[in-house]
Amino acid sequence: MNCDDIRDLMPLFVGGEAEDNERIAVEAHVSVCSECAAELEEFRRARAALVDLRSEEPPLEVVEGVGRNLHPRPLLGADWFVRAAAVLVVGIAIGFLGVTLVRKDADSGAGGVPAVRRSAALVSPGPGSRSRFAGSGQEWNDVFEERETRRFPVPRADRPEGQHYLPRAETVTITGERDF
Amino acid sequence: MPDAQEVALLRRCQGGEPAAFRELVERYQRRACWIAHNLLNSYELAQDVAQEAFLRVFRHLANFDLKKNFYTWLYQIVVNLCIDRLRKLSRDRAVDLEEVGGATDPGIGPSEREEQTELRRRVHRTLDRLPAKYKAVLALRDIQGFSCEEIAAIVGCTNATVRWRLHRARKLFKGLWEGHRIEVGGDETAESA
Repeated sequence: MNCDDIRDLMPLFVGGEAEDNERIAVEAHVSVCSECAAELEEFRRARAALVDLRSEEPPLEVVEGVGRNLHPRPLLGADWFVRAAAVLVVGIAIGFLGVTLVRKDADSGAGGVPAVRRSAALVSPGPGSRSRFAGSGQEWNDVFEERETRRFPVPRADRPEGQHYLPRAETVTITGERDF
Repeated sequence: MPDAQEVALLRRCQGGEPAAFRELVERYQRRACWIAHNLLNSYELAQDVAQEAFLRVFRHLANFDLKKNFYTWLYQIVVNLCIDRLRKLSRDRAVDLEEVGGATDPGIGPSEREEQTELRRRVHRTLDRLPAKYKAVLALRDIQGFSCEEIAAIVGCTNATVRWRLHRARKLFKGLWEGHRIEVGGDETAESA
């Protein structure tokens, strides 16, 4: 082996990773070659500087800080199913509550969706009143009057600021005849 | 093969026991932080990486094969996170992260301590100029003292590759240490990994 071959073995020789035959070759060569011996000494010094860092452990406060600020939440623990079920139940309850509130608002007319409120009253023709069909030979039928109170959303442009919906009431009277 | 005590601890961790995980963290946090510091030369970043590594361990511990060594898996995560961080730092052209604040030899005087600190600063500066993959094997071998087989498991390559990288890393380090200009060809630039 020449000097180049030996110098190529030096990086692993200094760390103890060289094979046995390589180690023997390097040791034999540097014992007779002063230039290669000096080169090997350079490799040893450089490695020694690295090995010196073995006593440079991180400060205690840095090490302890790793665990101190570590609070992993279990994603899938033994009770994951219970947690998932609990989330589902709460979600259903919130959804149910929301639907209930919306319906209640609609029925109470307090800003709810347009609703139709019906009230029906049987209005019998009073004395003197005549059916429009009077004289036609048709039997007098009960006349009923049905009132519908309908709520309609106010057009967007007319809404006061900050209000998304403002109902107005419009009463519609429906009069009709019905056979009983 | 891991010892029985560690296997029992890992089983408890897999069962979701918080106290067991705390014990696991206390057992390995020093080394994890230390390895990260060797590669990143910053205690703040090292702590950050170590925490991130333990979080990843926590997330994936259920799938960990108890027949394997836990520490090789943990340190593999630490090394990979460090390499990712080094790539990002070189891309962002971060400021000098040099930090030397670890323990010095208590048996030496103040001037010697200063000399030792300055020497360590120089070592870190030299290490920082190496490509990440070479820095990793050099730190794991010469600073942390792992065997080539252990390093192969940690960095995820063969024993032969570890030896080749060690060979190249020591050659580069020695050249830079002596102050020589080193041509690192191909993809072996100081900023690449």
